[in-house]
Amino acid sequence: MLFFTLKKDRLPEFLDAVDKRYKLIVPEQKGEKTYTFRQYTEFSKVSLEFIRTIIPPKKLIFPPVEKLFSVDKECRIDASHEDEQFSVIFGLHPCDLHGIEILDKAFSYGGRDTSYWRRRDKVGFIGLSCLPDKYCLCKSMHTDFIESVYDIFLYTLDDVYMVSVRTALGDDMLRLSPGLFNKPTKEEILEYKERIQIRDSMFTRIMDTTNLADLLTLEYKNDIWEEYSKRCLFCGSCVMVCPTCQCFDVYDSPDVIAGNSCRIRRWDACMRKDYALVTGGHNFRGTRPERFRFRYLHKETGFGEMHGKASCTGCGRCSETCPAGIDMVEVVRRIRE
Amino acid sequence: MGKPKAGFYSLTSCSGDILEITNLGEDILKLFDLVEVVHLNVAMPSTGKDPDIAFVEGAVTSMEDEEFLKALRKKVKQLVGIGTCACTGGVIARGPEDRRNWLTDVYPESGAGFDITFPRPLKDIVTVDFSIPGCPIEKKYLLHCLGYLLKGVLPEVPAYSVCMECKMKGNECLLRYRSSACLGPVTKAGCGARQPSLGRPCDGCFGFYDDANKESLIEIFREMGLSEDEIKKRFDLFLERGL
Ligand code: SF4
Ligand code: SF4
Ligand code: SF4
Ligand code: SF4
Repeated sequence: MLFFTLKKDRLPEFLDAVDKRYKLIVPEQKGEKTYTFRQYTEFSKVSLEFIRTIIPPKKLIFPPVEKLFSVDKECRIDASHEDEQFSVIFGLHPCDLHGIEILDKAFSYGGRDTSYWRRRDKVGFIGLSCLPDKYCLCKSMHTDFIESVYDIFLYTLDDVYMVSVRTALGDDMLRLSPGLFNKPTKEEILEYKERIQIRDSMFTRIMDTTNLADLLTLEYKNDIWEEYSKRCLFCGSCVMVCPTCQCFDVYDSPDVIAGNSCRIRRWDACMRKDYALVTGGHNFRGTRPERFRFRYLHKETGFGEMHGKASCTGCGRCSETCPAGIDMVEVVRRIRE
Repeated sequence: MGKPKAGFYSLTSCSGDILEITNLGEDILKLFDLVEVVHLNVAMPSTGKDPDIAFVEGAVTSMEDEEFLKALRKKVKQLVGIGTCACTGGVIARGPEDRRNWLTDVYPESGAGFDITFPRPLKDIVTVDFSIPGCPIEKKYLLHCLGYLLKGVLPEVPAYSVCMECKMKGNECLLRYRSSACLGPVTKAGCGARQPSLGRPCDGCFGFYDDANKESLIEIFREMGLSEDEIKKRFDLFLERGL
């Protein structure tokens, strides 16, 4: 890891240089209070203050709907894909970088998922520090810092960014605009230390995650699952916006216009009624409380059993998005009672 | 074996669904490649031939509609309802059961003699093989279903809420951020979240989705300050009659 500083007013130059070389994706404002990752057009549109985008950057690597291959009338299989340009995503906060790390694990389990890795191998990340809002839970999930995944990470200080360069790709990016980067001064290092202290003290929402996986398992029969399942709309929004939800459905779709048939994969959600329906008609989670509970169990327990950490990054999207106002922190607090 | 013969028919409707088919643009040529179109209301004179597969829009609102539909059913292998009117009765099935006085109010002389019944969905009269909802139908969804139907297979249709499509599109939630009474959480997907994508709340024209939690959404609307009457009107527009 190498550290540099970048004057804040030189960031546009740096991003322009990255954009010239790679396909640059940046966070932009969408609605009054919402943000989205889009292809870079000009610096003035880039949001540096956003907390979370509606959909996490996973959409760029694991798109909501994708064609895996097609078969024509002569039974010829076409699994070719447009050779995608190498892209660099700017502005990922630690939670979203942790989200990528978790997807990497999920899509490597039992073999590399070719469709995921085809894109993943051609993307770089420039992280950006953030200050928490009322939904941020990363501190509780131990994802408020990231030491992997990113190529470059920018910590916002008063006049400069403290720039951490982690990979060879990060180094390549730096070299695109030589002269913009300096060695950090003693004062800047001091400011960096102060900043991380301040940020740490800003978390207003804490979720006690001590032995959470155990507790959720022990409280399998708790009445709150039934209670919340009356409120939950089973709309699936929480799953769609989650940076680590990785479930998909695969189906074949005849395309009457192209004259072929396509195998499609599309995001799926365990909130859905026939998600766990199998041939023969048995549904492993036929009731709503079972479906409501399962998301919590998978986030906090199931993934951990396989990979050694919970698959919630604490990004706060599910709580912010839920039209029924269901909030993970409250659910977990109730479980602890 | 020749191409399957397909007919597109209208009962009582605004013709919105057939118009969507004529709006297919260049793709309509593909449709003519794929099937022999024997009847396409509004767009071409009928060939008079009987179809193998019939697509019917509109609700049944007269004895004449009813008899036509029954006769059509006897001729075809597959009968597919297109548009919400065909599937549930649609907007024209809102309001009072008895509409006789409307007729005599509007046509004092001849009104009483008109042949009308309360608007009913196709399934109340005949066996319907498949229903394609939408007010009007979505072109993409129609073509998607057509691919399966022409192979004699039931179409794969998304068994989830409009919210899931809405989120896959990356939209800002209208219910959450703009306190708009969106029916997306209880409505069947398939339209690609057309209205929410344009900043308008979903009106529910595809009908309730399988696992819709209507009670909870009503409670959420109440908390948002909607009156009981406003809530009723929202659900009445399309959803209440059910697919
Ligand atoms: S977003 Fe909320 S209402 Fe919708 S499925 Fe998730 S918890 Fe339930
Ligand atoms: S099982 Fe549910 S919570 Fe877990 S990744 Fe799949 S959709 Fe998300
Ligand atoms: S479960 Fe919620 S808070 Fe955790 S990563 Fe998913 S969307 Fe973010
Ligand atoms: S705008 Fe409507 S359809 Fe979209 S997520 Fe919100 S409630 Fe669901």
